Amino acid sequence: MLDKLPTDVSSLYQIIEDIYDLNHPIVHPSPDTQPHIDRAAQIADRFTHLHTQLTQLQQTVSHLNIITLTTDGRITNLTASATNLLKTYFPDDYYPNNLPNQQLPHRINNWLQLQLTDTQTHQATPLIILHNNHGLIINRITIRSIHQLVLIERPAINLTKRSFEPIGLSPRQSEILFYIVQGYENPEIATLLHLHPTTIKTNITNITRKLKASGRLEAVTIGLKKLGIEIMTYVLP
Amino acid sequence: MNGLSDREYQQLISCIGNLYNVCTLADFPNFILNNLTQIISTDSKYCVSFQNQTIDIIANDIDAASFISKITPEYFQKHPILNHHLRTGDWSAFKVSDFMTEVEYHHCDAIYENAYKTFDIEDFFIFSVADPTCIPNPQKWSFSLMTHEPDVAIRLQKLSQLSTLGNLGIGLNRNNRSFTESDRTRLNLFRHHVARAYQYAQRYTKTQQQIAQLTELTEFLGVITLTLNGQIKSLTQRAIHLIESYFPNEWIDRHQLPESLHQYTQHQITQLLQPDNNIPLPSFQQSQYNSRLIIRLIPVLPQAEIILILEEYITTHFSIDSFRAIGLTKRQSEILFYLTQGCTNKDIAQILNLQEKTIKKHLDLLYRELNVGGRIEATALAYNRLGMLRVLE
Repeated sequence: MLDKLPTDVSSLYQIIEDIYDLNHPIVHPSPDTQPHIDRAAQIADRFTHLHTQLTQLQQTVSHLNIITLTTDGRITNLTASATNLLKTYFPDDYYPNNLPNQQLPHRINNWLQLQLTDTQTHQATPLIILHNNHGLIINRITIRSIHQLVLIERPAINLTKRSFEPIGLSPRQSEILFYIVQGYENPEIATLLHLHPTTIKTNITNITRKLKASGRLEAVTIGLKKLGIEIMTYVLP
Repeated sequence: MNGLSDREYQQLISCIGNLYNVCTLADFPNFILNNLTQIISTDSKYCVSFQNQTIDIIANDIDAASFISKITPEYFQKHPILNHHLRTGDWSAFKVSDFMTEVEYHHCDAIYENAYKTFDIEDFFIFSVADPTCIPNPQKWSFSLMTHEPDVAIRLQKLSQLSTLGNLGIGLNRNNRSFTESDRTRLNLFRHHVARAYQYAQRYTKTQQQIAQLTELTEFLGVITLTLNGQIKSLTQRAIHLIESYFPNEWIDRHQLPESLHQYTQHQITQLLQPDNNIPLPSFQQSQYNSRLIIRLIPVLPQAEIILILEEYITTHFSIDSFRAIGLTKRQSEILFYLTQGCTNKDIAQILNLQEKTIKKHLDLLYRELNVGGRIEATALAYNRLGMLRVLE
């Protein structure tokens, strides 16, 4: 209860009305208004505190690469840094101006739809997209039927003609395996290296023997394995 | 000025002070009813709130559920105050005697005989507080929506979906016709503050929800924020779990990172603070038997903050499921895996217990999807993408 009241109580009422309008300039305190000014300040503090907390969280989240999706795979929210990644990796397939309910780039969407329809497997498989010297790994986390994509960018592994020399192949063999890894057929490799197709064949026989492989495809598998090229699967929480 | 006595003003002032305590939307109706008690006496009162497409009725001294069960389609059609509110968009306090004499009231079955009389209600005030984010539009409001619905629960559900309705309705009841003009004046002054307090509650709740949402979003990721001198500002559950399992005996002071990680971040920060520094920051790696923790550092220098992002990976070589990561189905991945092991179509057919021509069909589709000419190119493409190989000529 208030100790002292001004002669006109209705004008005190008007002042107090203004005090609780948090956008109103601060009212000059008097014994009657002081408790109200204090309380209004407390409320304003609570709001400021909450707002600071939110701003900080938003700041942190904006640096994470997260895309939030609807159950059918449309974008409901994406962080600034995820937007940049999509722009880089899908320059022709991502137009960041039609939120909300925006479609994902086709390749991501196809992969997602495949996962959503495939009920047999619970473990989500990531999608890998290569671009220049980096790869984008896209992981799906589903919490309470809300899908989230977590994007991770990793540097690509460089592969050169000489990459297979350290695992015991000759410079020529390393070069040939390098082309096989890229999917060239024997005659093509022969033309590229200005060699006779029989020479290529002999070399491949030697490669498979050295790597204890049954054929050229398995040679690639073993070769990459020996180089320590491994698949890193993001562990979902 | 408006006929209130000093005492009434004093009551209002002290009540208003209490009204502005910060509270959530969920607690708001109860809060309002309790404060209302200080300025006006009633025999019963209730608060109806519409939020997030749900309707919530909180009542004092009256059984809300049984009151709702008395409400018929006719009730909405004939209710004088509801109709006036909706027709005019003037949501201020009105009492039943503004529209009906005692005799008319007693003769209105839908309102009195079937509903209010059951609870001995002879006089009532109703006022509403409209949602500031939506302009109530009586034209858009249609009684027919719920009046043709016999089930009370469904009718209420439909009612709550009308976003053009005021968001908070308050009713005050008495067992005799004794509400005065002074009561109305005080209620309307009070209403003004309820509207404002309601806005605060909405703002407060909305901010709280946003915080909860963002917290949930990051909680599943390993995220740590640090000050520039390496003090932990915040860390998620997932981050705690990952640090505990990758630095088992090293994490003693929980306000700081484990020593090796602390040194890494401090070193990076020193690098960052140097002028014209353009060197990309290397990530920190900690390996276990067949898994690896990779920690990336993101500086937010304007805020003098460092964000660490912790990612755990299982490291494997190629397996039958590996190729799903380049967008293949489980079956396609299996077949491609056996191809890379040097198997022929016939071998694969045998392993998977399928017809050879089925394998052929799968492969044709696979080649088309990957846009390659054949098995060699398909394998190569798969390897390049999966191993993230960058071919340098």
